[in-house]
Amino acid sequence: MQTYLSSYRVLILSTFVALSAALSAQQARESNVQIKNGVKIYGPIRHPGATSPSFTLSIRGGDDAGTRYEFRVGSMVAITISMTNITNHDIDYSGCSWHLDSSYNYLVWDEDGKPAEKIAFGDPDLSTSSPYWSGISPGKTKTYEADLEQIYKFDRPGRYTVQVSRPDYDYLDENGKPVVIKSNTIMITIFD
Amino acid sequence: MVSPAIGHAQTVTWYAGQTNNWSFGGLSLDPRCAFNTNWPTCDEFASLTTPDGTNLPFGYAGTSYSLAELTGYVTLPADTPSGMAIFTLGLTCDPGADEPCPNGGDDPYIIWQSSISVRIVGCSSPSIASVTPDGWWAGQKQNITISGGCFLPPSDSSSPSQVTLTDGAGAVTLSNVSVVSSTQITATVNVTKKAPAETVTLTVTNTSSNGASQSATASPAPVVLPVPVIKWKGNAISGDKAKNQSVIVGQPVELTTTPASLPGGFTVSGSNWTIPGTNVQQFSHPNSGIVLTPTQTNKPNTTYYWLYPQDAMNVAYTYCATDPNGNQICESPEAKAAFNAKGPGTLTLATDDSQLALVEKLDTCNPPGKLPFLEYGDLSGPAPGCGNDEGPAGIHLTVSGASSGSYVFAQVVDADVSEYTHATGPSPTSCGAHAGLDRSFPYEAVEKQNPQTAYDGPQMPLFPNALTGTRTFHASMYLLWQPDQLPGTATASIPVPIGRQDWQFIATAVENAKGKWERHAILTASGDEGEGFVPSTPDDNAIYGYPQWTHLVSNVCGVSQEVQ
Repeated sequence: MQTYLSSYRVLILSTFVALSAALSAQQARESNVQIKNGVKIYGPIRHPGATSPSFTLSIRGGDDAGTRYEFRVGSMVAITISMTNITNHDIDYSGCSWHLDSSYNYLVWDEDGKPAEKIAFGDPDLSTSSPYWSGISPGKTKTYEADLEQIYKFDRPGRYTVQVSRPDYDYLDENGKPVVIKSNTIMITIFD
Repeated sequence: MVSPAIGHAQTVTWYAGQTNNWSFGGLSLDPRCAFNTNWPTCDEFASLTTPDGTNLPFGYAGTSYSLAELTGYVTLPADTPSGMAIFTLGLTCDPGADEPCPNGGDDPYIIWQSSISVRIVGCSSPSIASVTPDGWWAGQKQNITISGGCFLPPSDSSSPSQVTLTDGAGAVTLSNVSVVSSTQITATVNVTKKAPAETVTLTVTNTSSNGASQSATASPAPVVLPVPVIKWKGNAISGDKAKNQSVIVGQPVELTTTPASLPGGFTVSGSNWTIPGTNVQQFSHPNSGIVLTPTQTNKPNTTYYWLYPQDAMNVAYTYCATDPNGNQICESPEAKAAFNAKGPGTLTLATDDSQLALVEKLDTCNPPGKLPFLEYGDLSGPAPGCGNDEGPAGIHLTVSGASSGSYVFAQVVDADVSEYTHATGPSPTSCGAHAGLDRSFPYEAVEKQNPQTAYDGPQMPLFPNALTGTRTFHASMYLLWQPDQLPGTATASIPVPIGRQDWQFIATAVENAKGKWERHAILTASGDEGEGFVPSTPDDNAIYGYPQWTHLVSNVCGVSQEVQ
């Protein structure tokens, strides 16, 4: 049991790892809601078989102007993620409010290139969650402001490199695994 | 000893602003006391007096004396008015203790005096130093003061100074002109309401009986300060004949005004808007909470949004002007424009409570496995962080009533506590989430094809060695409405508050005697909470009924807390 619980703790960074086989056989789904027997069934939009990425990701500083890259220790460390649909059909924008939106992977490295220290959420992580299912229309962009301070410690001044990624469940690699779409990288500075 | 007065029969002409000669002839004066001697007790005197007894200032000097003639000159100030006066010249004696008068007596006496009549030709060239005020409001009757010199009063024989004004629009009339003194004229100007911004030529003219009229024109010229006009979409919307304008809450109201500039070196130096109703200039929604920027009311142009419907709102605008000398003239007549701000109509928010409180094992991904969750709804599939599960959500909130625009949801979690009891151990475990905004603004869990429906299905992992797990969840779903983009402007519309629906989910998952979680949890409460759908009002909070939060909902379950 202990081994199982320890493994569960690393779920955040393993979002895309285990779903590949099932996804390759998935059914197309045009909407995030279907009605079966009078009941609304929510689920992700799917267009399997894509031959190119479905979306792009970009990140920038967290304020409205996208120009804030310096944060005080203990304050919000916000970045804004923009996901743009580059297909001619709706694509999935589903996720789960679990610490941050768990549909993204939040990657942070310190000045030495080592992964930054994360907050330990317990063993097991008893954090609650709320899934959501949504979509992005063709050519449109949705943004999400993520406070990295909710999952990373950022308790020491320094410069950090940040990147965000998200698996593209419609665009699979030769092994049938979702291709992970990566954003640009940005540098942020944490100061006292 | 005393010579006869030469006098009144003799009339000489003197000119203001000039040195004028005079002479008295046929004199017979005591030579000891002649004008040019130093007899100690003798003194000369001179005066220039109008018929009404007013003494006029003048400069005097004697030049020569003989027994036959006394000559000299008088200098009149430039602003000496025209008219008749008497110039008197004399010689007195005032004996001192040791000095007798020429007559040997001890009493003062006039040795000699004589007068001549003087016809004064007053100022020929008036001057204007200032006009106060120098900005005249359209639509108003104002008293003005012209300061300067050489103004001729009515008593002046050359007739009083004349004041005239001309303006290109023919919008200014003059009345009640009064030459108060040689340095001041008062008058009343009346400017028509529709007068444009223009300079006015104001002239003071002195007529002369013995030469051409002389005049002076105010420089800088007074300026007509027009009644301001409020414009919307390029059209004037203020004034007597203006109709009520219809706007939609949440759409930008971009108002401009005239005059934007003024002639004659005047500038629009201050602006003041009065905008009734609940309005803001800007709306933004960072994770730290909605920020509303107050409407700017001190600039000639303003852009704002009304947040709540209201009819017959009078927007007013006034301005101040600064003249070339830096004097501020406040404040202009008011421009008023009436608006009716319309809302989306009556919106209703219906809640559909699934009344499902189930335990579902979700798929973990590394390593593959299953972990039980207490759910509001019936979701199955991957565990959080492992992909997207699917199924019916616990609650749906569906809005209806608007024929245009779009609905915007925002969910604020007020309280969220997870509690576990254990088969062994000293006490239950409890953890909770900080209240705050649920994920983002706007709320993301909205049906893509039916964006009038928002939903939620909170999940709670069940502690593997717990006996029970209870979730107590309270949230407020805020409904906002965002009107369509206003045609003809690039300024986006903003969402306005409509109301909120509080809801809850309280359920307990129970592990049975076999160590298995019961599929059906004990549902204590779910769905609507409180007083139903509560319409927003401007007085709800400091941000006019918008949802308030300071941060996103964040879990603190990572650190287990012991319940006391």
